[in-house]
Amino acid sequence: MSALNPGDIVYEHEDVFTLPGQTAAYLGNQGSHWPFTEDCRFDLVGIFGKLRPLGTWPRAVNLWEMTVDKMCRAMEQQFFDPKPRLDKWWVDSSHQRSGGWDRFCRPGPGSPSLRDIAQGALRPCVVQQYVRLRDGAKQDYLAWINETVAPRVAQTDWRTLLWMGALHGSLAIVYHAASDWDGLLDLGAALPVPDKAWGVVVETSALQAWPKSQYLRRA
Amino acid sequence: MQDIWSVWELMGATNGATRGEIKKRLDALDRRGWQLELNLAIVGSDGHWPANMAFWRVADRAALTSWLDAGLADGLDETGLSWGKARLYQRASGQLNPEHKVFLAEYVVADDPRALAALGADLVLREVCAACQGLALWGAKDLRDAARNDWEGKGASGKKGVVQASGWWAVIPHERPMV
Repeated sequence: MSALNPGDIVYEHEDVFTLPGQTAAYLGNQGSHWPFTEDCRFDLVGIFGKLRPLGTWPRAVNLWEMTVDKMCRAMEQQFFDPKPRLDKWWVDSSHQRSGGWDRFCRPGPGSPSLRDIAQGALRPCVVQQYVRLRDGAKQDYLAWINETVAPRVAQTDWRTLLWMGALHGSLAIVYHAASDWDGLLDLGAALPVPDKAWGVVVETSALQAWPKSQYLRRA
Repeated sequence: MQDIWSVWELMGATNGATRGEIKKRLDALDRRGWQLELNLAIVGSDGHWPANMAFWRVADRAALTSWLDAGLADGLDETGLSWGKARLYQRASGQLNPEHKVFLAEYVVADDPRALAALGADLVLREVCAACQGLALWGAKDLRDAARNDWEGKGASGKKGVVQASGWWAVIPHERPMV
Protein backbone atom coordinates (compact mmCIF):
# COMPACT_ATOMS: atom_id res chain seq x y z
CA MET A 1 0.00 0.00 0.00
CA SER A 2 1.23 3.50 -0.86
CA ALA A 3 1.29 6.45 1.56
CA LEU A 4 -1.82 8.63 1.56
CA ASN A 5 -1.77 11.71 -0.68
CA PRO A 6 -4.63 14.23 -0.24
CA GLY A 7 -5.03 14.34 -4.02
CA ASP A 8 -5.46 10.59 -4.41
CA ILE A 9 -8.72 9.50 -6.03
CA VAL A 10 -11.25 7.67 -3.91
CA TYR A 11 -14.76 6.44 -4.69
CA GLU A 12 -17.73 6.56 -2.37
CA HIS A 13 -20.03 3.72 -3.24
CA GLU A 14 -23.54 3.77 -1.77
CA ASP A 15 -26.15 1.00 -1.97
CA VAL A 16 -29.41 2.63 -0.95
CA PHE A 17 -32.49 0.82 0.38
CA THR A 18 -35.20 2.65 -1.54
CA LEU A 19 -38.80 2.22 -0.44
CA PRO A 20 -41.26 0.26 -2.61
CA GLY A 21 -42.01 2.09 -5.85
CA GLN A 22 -39.69 5.01 -5.00
CA THR A 23 -36.45 4.16 -6.80
CA ALA A 24 -37.05 6.28 -9.90
CA ALA A 25 -38.05 9.32 -7.84
CA TYR A 26 -35.04 8.87 -5.58
CA LEU A 27 -32.57 9.00 -8.49
CA GLY A 28 -33.60 12.51 -9.50
CA ASN A 29 -33.78 13.73 -5.91
CA GLN A 30 -30.31 12.49 -4.92
CA GLY A 31 -28.78 13.35 -8.27
CA SER A 32 -29.92 16.98 -8.20
CA HIS A 33 -28.96 17.91 -4.65
CA TRP A 34 -25.65 19.12 -3.20
CA PRO A 35 -25.72 19.71 0.57
CA PHE A 36 -22.09 20.66 1.32
CA THR A 37 -20.06 23.80 0.58
CA GLU A 38 -18.90 24.33 -3.00
CA ASP A 39 -15.21 24.06 -2.13
CA CYS A 40 -15.61 20.37 -1.43
CA ARG A 41 -17.94 19.56 -4.33
CA PHE A 42 -17.11 16.25 -5.98
CA ASP A 43 -18.44 14.28 -8.89
CA LEU A 44 -21.41 11.94 -9.03
CA VAL A 45 -20.06 9.43 -11.53
CA GLY A 46 -23.41 7.76 -11.78
CA ILE A 47 -26.65 7.09 -10.00
CA PHE A 48 -28.51 3.91 -10.82
CA GLY A 49 -31.64 1.88 -10.12
CA LYS A 50 -31.44 -1.90 -9.80
CA LEU A 51 -33.59 -3.79 -12.29
CA ARG A 52 -35.84 -6.79 -11.73
CA PRO A 53 -34.25 -9.59 -13.76
CA LEU A 54 -31.02 -9.66 -11.72
CA GLY A 55 -30.18 -7.89 -8.53
CA THR A 56 -31.70 -6.89 -5.22
CA TRP A 57 -34.60 -4.46 -5.16
CA PRO A 58 -35.88 -1.94 -4.52
CA ARG A 59 -32.38 -0.48 -4.45
CA ALA A 60 -30.40 2.42 -5.88
CA VAL A 61 -26.66 2.90 -6.24
CA ASN A 62 -24.75 6.18 -5.99
CA LEU A 63 -21.13 6.25 -7.12
CA TRP A 64 -19.06 9.35 -6.33
CA GLU A 65 -15.48 10.16 -7.36
CA MET A 66 -13.41 12.56 -5.26
CA THR A 67 -10.04 13.27 -3.79
CA VAL A 68 -9.19 12.09 -0.30
CA ASP A 69 -9.05 15.75 0.75
CA LYS A 70 -12.64 16.42 -0.41
CA MET A 71 -13.82 13.16 1.10
CA CYS A 72 -12.54 14.26 4.50
CA ARG A 73 -13.92 17.79 4.17
CA ALA A 74 -17.41 16.51 3.33
CA MET A 75 -17.34 14.08 6.24
CA GLU A 76 -16.26 16.90 8.56
CA GLN A 77 -19.24 18.99 7.43
CA GLN A 78 -21.62 16.07 7.88
CA PHE A 79 -20.50 14.93 11.31
CA PHE A 80 -18.57 17.75 13.05
CA ASP A 81 -19.94 21.03 11.66
CA PRO A 82 -22.63 22.49 13.97
CA LYS A 83 -24.52 23.74 10.89
CA PRO A 84 -26.92 20.97 9.83
CA ARG A 85 -26.18 21.00 6.09
CA LEU A 86 -27.54 17.55 5.28
CA ASP A 87 -30.24 17.13 7.89
CA LYS A 88 -33.19 18.71 6.05
CA TRP A 89 -32.64 16.76 2.83
CA TRP A 90 -32.03 13.62 4.89
CA VAL A 91 -35.39 13.94 6.66
CA ASP A 92 -37.30 15.20 3.61
CA SER A 93 -36.14 12.18 1.62
CA SER A 94 -37.22 9.61 4.20
CA HIS A 95 -40.30 8.78 2.11
CA GLN A 96 -37.95 7.54 -0.62
CA ARG A 97 -35.36 5.46 1.26
CA SER A 98 -34.97 3.81 4.63
CA GLY A 99 -31.19 3.32 4.84
CA GLY A 100 -28.28 1.83 2.96
CA TRP A 101 -24.70 0.64 3.14
CA ASP A 102 -21.65 2.53 1.86
CA ARG A 103 -17.95 1.90 1.28
CA PHE A 104 -15.01 4.08 0.39
CA CYS A 105 -13.04 2.40 -2.37
CA ARG A 106 -9.66 2.82 -4.08
CA PRO A 107 -9.51 2.43 -7.85
CA GLY A 108 -8.02 -0.88 -8.95
CA PRO A 109 -4.86 -0.93 -11.08
CA GLY A 110 -5.63 0.42 -14.56
CA SER A 111 -9.21 1.40 -13.70
CA PRO A 112 -10.22 4.48 -15.73
CA SER A 113 -11.26 7.77 -14.15
CA LEU A 114 -14.61 9.54 -14.59
CA ARG A 115 -12.93 11.77 -17.18
CA ASP A 116 -11.90 8.69 -19.16
CA ILE A 117 -15.31 7.01 -19.15
CA ALA A 118 -17.25 10.20 -19.95
CA GLN A 119 -16.17 9.88 -23.58
CA GLY A 120 -17.29 7.88 -26.59
CA ALA A 121 -20.48 5.86 -26.81
CA LEU A 122 -23.09 6.31 -24.08
CA ARG A 123 -23.31 3.18 -21.94
CA PRO A 124 -26.33 3.49 -19.62
CA CYS A 125 -26.85 -0.29 -19.23
CA VAL A 126 -24.66 -1.47 -16.38
CA VAL A 127 -23.85 -4.80 -14.78
CA GLN A 128 -22.46 -4.36 -11.29
CA GLN A 129 -20.68 -7.11 -9.36
CA TYR A 130 -19.99 -7.11 -5.64
CA VAL A 131 -17.15 -9.55 -5.18
CA ARG A 132 -16.41 -11.00 -1.76
CA LEU A 133 -12.94 -12.49 -1.60
CA ARG A 134 -10.71 -14.49 0.67
CA ASP A 135 -8.79 -12.07 2.86
CA GLY A 136 -5.61 -10.99 1.11
CA ALA A 137 -6.81 -11.79 -2.43
CA LYS A 138 -8.18 -8.35 -3.36
CA GLN A 139 -5.13 -6.90 -5.11
CA ASP A 140 -4.54 -10.06 -7.16
CA TYR A 141 -8.21 -10.12 -8.13
CA LEU A 142 -8.23 -6.46 -9.24
CA ALA A 143 -5.01 -6.95 -11.23
CA TRP A 144 -6.70 -9.92 -12.95
CA ILE A 145 -9.68 -7.72 -13.83
CA ASN A 146 -7.28 -5.25 -15.47
CA GLU A 147 -5.10 -7.77 -17.29
CA THR A 148 -7.54 -10.54 -18.21
CA VAL A 149 -11.20 -9.62 -17.72
CA ALA A 150 -11.33 -6.12 -19.23
CA PRO A 151 -9.61 -7.17 -22.49
CA ARG A 152 -11.97 -10.13 -22.92
CA VAL A 153 -15.03 -8.01 -22.22
CA ALA A 154 -13.76 -5.45 -24.76
CA GLN A 155 -14.15 -8.11 -27.47
CA THR A 156 -17.94 -7.83 -26.97
CA ASP A 157 -20.19 -4.76 -27.10
CA TRP A 158 -19.51 -4.29 -23.37
CA ARG A 159 -16.71 -2.42 -21.61
CA THR A 160 -15.40 -2.95 -18.10
CA LEU A 161 -16.09 0.55 -16.87
CA LEU A 162 -14.50 0.71 -13.41
CA TRP A 163 -13.02 -1.69 -10.86
CA MET A 164 -12.23 -0.84 -7.26
CA GLY A 165 -11.51 -2.32 -3.86
CA ALA A 166 -12.94 -1.28 -0.50
CA LEU A 167 -10.49 0.70 1.65
CA HIS A 168 -10.84 -1.96 4.33
CA GLY A 169 -11.88 -5.59 4.12
CA SER A 170 -11.86 -7.86 1.09
CA LEU A 171 -14.73 -6.46 -1.01
CA ALA A 172 -14.17 -5.55 -4.67
CA ILE A 173 -16.72 -3.86 -6.94
CA VAL A 174 -16.69 -4.11 -10.73
CA TYR A 175 -18.83 -2.27 -13.28
CA HIS A 176 -19.39 -3.38 -16.88
CA ALA A 177 -21.45 -1.21 -19.23
CA ALA A 178 -23.03 -1.22 -22.69
CA SER A 179 -25.21 0.93 -24.88
CA ASP A 180 -28.11 -1.54 -24.71
CA TRP A 181 -29.06 -4.84 -23.12
CA ASP A 182 -29.01 -6.93 -26.30
CA GLY A 183 -25.59 -8.48 -25.60
CA LEU A 184 -26.01 -9.31 -21.92
CA LEU A 185 -25.55 -13.04 -22.56
CA ASP A 186 -22.37 -12.25 -24.54
CA LEU A 187 -20.99 -10.46 -21.49
CA GLY A 188 -21.69 -13.54 -19.38
CA ALA A 189 -19.94 -15.77 -21.91
CA ALA A 190 -16.88 -13.49 -21.97
CA LEU A 191 -16.33 -13.44 -18.21
CA PRO A 192 -13.58 -15.92 -17.29
CA VAL A 193 -13.65 -18.19 -14.24
CA PRO A 194 -11.52 -16.68 -11.43
CA ASP A 195 -8.77 -18.50 -9.57
CA LYS A 196 -10.42 -20.75 -6.99
CA ALA A 197 -7.77 -19.73 -4.43
CA TRP A 198 -9.34 -16.27 -4.24
CA GLY A 199 -12.58 -17.63 -2.75
CA VAL A 200 -14.72 -15.48 -5.02
CA VAL A 201 -18.43 -15.05 -4.25
CA VAL A 202 -20.21 -12.64 -6.58
CA GLU A 203 -23.49 -10.73 -6.31
CA THR A 204 -24.52 -9.44 -9.74
CA SER A 205 -27.04 -6.67 -10.45
CA ALA A 206 -28.38 -5.03 -13.59
CA LEU A 207 -28.44 -1.27 -13.18
CA GLN A 208 -30.17 1.42 -15.18
CA ALA A 209 -28.25 4.70 -15.10
CA TRP A 210 -30.04 7.96 -14.34
CA PRO A 211 -29.79 9.89 -17.65
CA LYS A 212 -28.11 12.90 -16.00
CA SER A 213 -25.32 10.81 -14.48
CA GLN A 214 -21.99 12.56 -15.09
CA TYR A 215 -20.41 9.64 -16.91
CA LEU A 216 -23.20 9.95 -19.51
CA ARG A 217 -22.64 13.67 -20.14
CA ARG A 218 -20.76 14.74 -23.25
CA ALA A 219 -19.19 18.12 -23.92
CA MET B 1 -30.05 -19.80 -27.51
CA GLN B 2 -29.11 -20.98 -24.04
CA ASP B 3 -31.90 -22.09 -21.70
CA ILE B 4 -32.20 -18.86 -19.67
CA TRP B 5 -33.94 -18.47 -16.32
CA SER B 6 -34.52 -15.58 -13.92
CA VAL B 7 -35.28 -16.68 -10.37
CA TRP B 8 -36.74 -14.20 -7.93
CA GLU B 9 -37.06 -14.26 -4.17
CA LEU B 10 -39.74 -11.91 -2.90
CA MET B 11 -39.83 -11.19 0.81
CA GLY B 12 -43.22 -9.92 1.95
CA ALA B 13 -44.34 -9.02 5.45
CA THR B 14 -46.98 -10.27 7.85
CA ASN B 15 -48.31 -6.71 7.87
CA GLY B 16 -47.67 -6.18 4.15
CA ALA B 17 -47.65 -8.51 1.15
CA THR B 18 -48.44 -12.11 2.14
CA ARG B 19 -47.40 -15.17 0.14
CA GLY B 20 -50.87 -15.33 -1.39
CA GLU B 21 -50.75 -11.68 -2.35
CA ILE B 22 -47.28 -12.03 -3.89
CA LYS B 23 -48.40 -15.09 -5.87
CA LYS B 24 -51.38 -13.12 -7.18
CA ARG B 25 -49.17 -10.21 -8.24
CA LEU B 26 -46.76 -12.51 -10.04
CA ASP B 27 -49.58 -14.30 -11.83
CA ALA B 28 -51.01 -10.97 -12.98
CA LEU B 29 -47.73 -9.48 -14.18
CA ASP B 30 -47.15 -8.61 -17.85
CA ARG B 31 -44.82 -11.49 -18.74
CA ARG B 32 -43.09 -10.04 -21.79
CA GLY B 33 -42.59 -13.48 -23.28
CA TRP B 34 -41.41 -15.07 -20.03
CA GLN B 35 -42.95 -18.29 -18.72
CA LEU B 36 -43.64 -18.56 -14.98
CA GLU B 37 -42.62 -22.21 -14.52
CA LEU B 38 -42.85 -22.28 -10.71
CA ASN B 39 -44.47 -19.88 -8.26
CA LEU B 40 -43.41 -21.30 -4.90
CA ALA B 41 -44.24 -20.44 -1.30
CA ILE B 42 -41.18 -20.66 0.95
CA VAL B 43 -41.84 -22.91 3.95
CA GLY B 44 -41.95 -20.92 7.16
CA SER B 45 -40.55 -23.78 9.21
CA ASP B 46 -37.45 -24.10 7.02
CA GLY B 47 -36.95 -20.78 5.28
CA HIS B 48 -37.73 -17.08 5.53
CA TRP B 49 -41.33 -15.93 5.64
CA PRO B 50 -43.58 -14.72 4.29
CA ALA B 51 -41.73 -15.14 1.01
CA ASN B 52 -42.11 -16.60 -2.47
CA MET B 53 -39.80 -17.84 -5.20
CA ALA B 54 -40.62 -17.30 -8.86
CA PHE B 55 -38.87 -19.38 -11.52
CA TRP B 56 -39.16 -17.60 -14.86
CA ARG B 57 -38.03 -19.19 -18.09
CA VAL B 58 -36.95 -16.58 -20.63
CA ALA B 59 -37.96 -17.46 -24.17
CA ASP B 60 -35.15 -15.77 -26.05
CA ARG B 61 -32.76 -12.81 -26.12
CA ALA B 62 -35.53 -10.47 -27.19
CA ALA B 63 -37.65 -11.45 -24.19
CA LEU B 64 -34.71 -10.86 -21.84
CA THR B 65 -34.01 -7.47 -23.37
CA SER B 66 -37.69 -6.58 -23.23
CA TRP B 67 -37.82 -6.86 -19.43
CA LEU B 68 -34.56 -4.97 -18.95
CA ASP B 69 -35.73 -2.24 -21.32
CA ALA B 70 -38.86 -1.81 -19.18
CA GLY B 71 -36.49 -0.40 -16.57
CA LEU B 72 -37.86 0.61 -13.22
CA ALA B 73 -41.44 0.66 -14.54
CA ASP B 74 -41.86 -3.07 -15.22
CA GLY B 75 -45.28 -3.18 -13.58
CA LEU B 76 -44.54 -5.18 -10.42
CA ASP B 77 -46.33 -3.61 -7.45
CA GLU B 78 -43.65 -3.45 -4.73
CA THR B 79 -46.08 -2.28 -2.04
CA GLY B 80 -45.72 -4.29 1.15
CA LEU B 81 -42.57 -6.10 0.01
CA SER B 82 -39.60 -6.02 2.38
CA TRP B 83 -37.11 -6.87 -0.36
CA GLY B 84 -36.64 -8.83 -3.53
CA LYS B 85 -33.66 -10.56 -5.07
CA ALA B 86 -33.23 -11.93 -8.58
CA ARG B 87 -30.49 -13.87 -10.33
CA LEU B 88 -30.08 -14.61 -14.00
CA TYR B 89 -29.18 -18.18 -14.88
CA GLN B 90 -28.65 -20.61 -17.68
CA ARG B 91 -29.55 -24.26 -17.24
CA ALA B 92 -26.55 -26.39 -16.30
CA SER B 93 -28.27 -29.78 -15.95
CA GLY B 94 -31.57 -31.54 -15.26
CA GLN B 95 -35.13 -30.41 -15.73
CA LEU B 96 -38.26 -29.84 -13.68
CA ASN B 97 -40.18 -32.98 -12.76
CA PRO B 98 -43.93 -32.26 -12.91
CA GLU B 99 -44.58 -34.87 -10.18
CA HIS B 100 -42.54 -32.89 -7.67
CA LYS B 101 -44.40 -30.37 -5.49
CA VAL B 102 -41.93 -29.89 -2.60
CA PHE B 103 -38.39 -28.58 -3.06
CA LEU B 104 -35.12 -27.93 -1.33
CA ALA B 105 -33.84 -24.79 -3.09
CA GLU B 106 -30.12 -24.19 -2.58
CA TYR B 107 -27.77 -21.43 -3.62
CA VAL B 108 -24.46 -23.12 -4.36
CA VAL B 109 -20.93 -21.83 -4.86
CA ALA B 110 -18.60 -24.38 -6.47
CA ASP B 111 -14.94 -24.31 -7.37
CA ASP B 112 -15.68 -25.16 -11.00
CA PRO B 113 -18.75 -24.87 -13.27
CA ARG B 114 -18.56 -28.62 -13.97
CA ALA B 115 -19.04 -29.36 -10.27
CA LEU B 116 -22.31 -27.45 -10.37
CA ALA B 117 -23.58 -29.32 -13.41
CA ALA B 118 -22.76 -32.67 -11.74
CA LEU B 119 -24.82 -32.06 -8.58
CA GLY B 120 -27.68 -34.31 -9.67
CA ALA B 121 -30.59 -32.13 -8.54
CA ASP B 122 -33.86 -32.01 -10.48
CA LEU B 123 -32.70 -28.73 -11.98
CA VAL B 124 -29.33 -27.02 -11.69
CA LEU B 125 -28.97 -23.46 -12.91
CA ARG B 126 -25.70 -21.55 -13.16
CA GLU B 127 -25.39 -17.79 -13.07
CA VAL B 128 -24.91 -16.11 -16.43
CA CYS B 129 -22.30 -13.72 -15.00
CA ALA B 130 -20.72 -16.02 -12.38
CA ALA B 131 -20.23 -19.51 -13.77
CA CYS B 132 -19.24 -21.13 -10.46
CA GLN B 133 -22.42 -20.03 -8.71
CA GLY B 134 -25.81 -21.56 -9.12
CA LEU B 135 -29.14 -22.72 -7.82
CA ALA B 136 -29.99 -26.36 -7.25
CA LEU B 137 -33.61 -27.43 -6.97
CA TRP B 138 -34.08 -30.83 -5.35
CA GLY B 139 -37.65 -32.03 -5.79
CA ALA B 140 -39.86 -34.47 -3.91
CA LYS B 141 -43.43 -35.56 -4.46
CA ASP B 142 -44.51 -34.69 -0.92
CA LEU B 143 -43.24 -33.40 2.41
CA ARG B 144 -42.41 -36.88 3.74
CA ASP B 145 -40.16 -37.59 0.77
CA ALA B 146 -38.57 -34.16 1.13
CA ALA B 147 -37.91 -34.82 4.82
CA ARG B 148 -36.38 -38.20 4.00
CA ASN B 149 -34.17 -36.73 1.30
CA ASP B 150 -32.88 -33.96 3.54
CA TRP B 151 -32.43 -36.32 6.52
CA GLU B 152 -30.38 -38.70 4.40
CA GLY B 153 -28.13 -35.96 3.05
CA LYS B 154 -29.53 -35.38 -0.43
CA GLY B 155 -28.48 -31.85 -1.27
CA ALA B 156 -25.41 -29.95 -2.40
CA SER B 157 -23.52 -29.89 0.88
CA GLY B 158 -20.57 -32.30 0.82
CA LYS B 159 -20.71 -32.89 -2.94
CA LYS B 160 -17.46 -32.73 -4.89
CA GLY B 161 -16.33 -29.19 -5.62
CA VAL B 162 -18.99 -27.50 -3.48
CA VAL B 163 -17.61 -24.54 -1.53
CA GLN B 164 -20.84 -23.15 -0.07
CA ALA B 165 -24.44 -24.29 -0.04
CA SER B 166 -27.41 -22.77 1.71
CA GLY B 167 -31.10 -23.06 1.11
CA TRP B 168 -34.59 -23.79 2.35
CA TRP B 169 -37.78 -25.64 1.56
CA ALA B 170 -40.36 -24.26 -0.83
CA VAL B 171 -43.62 -25.77 -2.07
CA ILE B 172 -46.28 -25.45 -4.71
CA PRO B 173 -49.03 -24.56 -2.24
CA HIS B 174 -52.70 -25.37 -2.23
CA GLU B 175 -54.77 -22.91 -4.22
CA ARG B 176 -56.08 -21.22 -1.06
CA PRO B 177 -54.47 -17.80 -0.46
CA MET B 178 -51.36 -18.30 1.67
CA VAL B 179 -50.53 -15.89 4.47
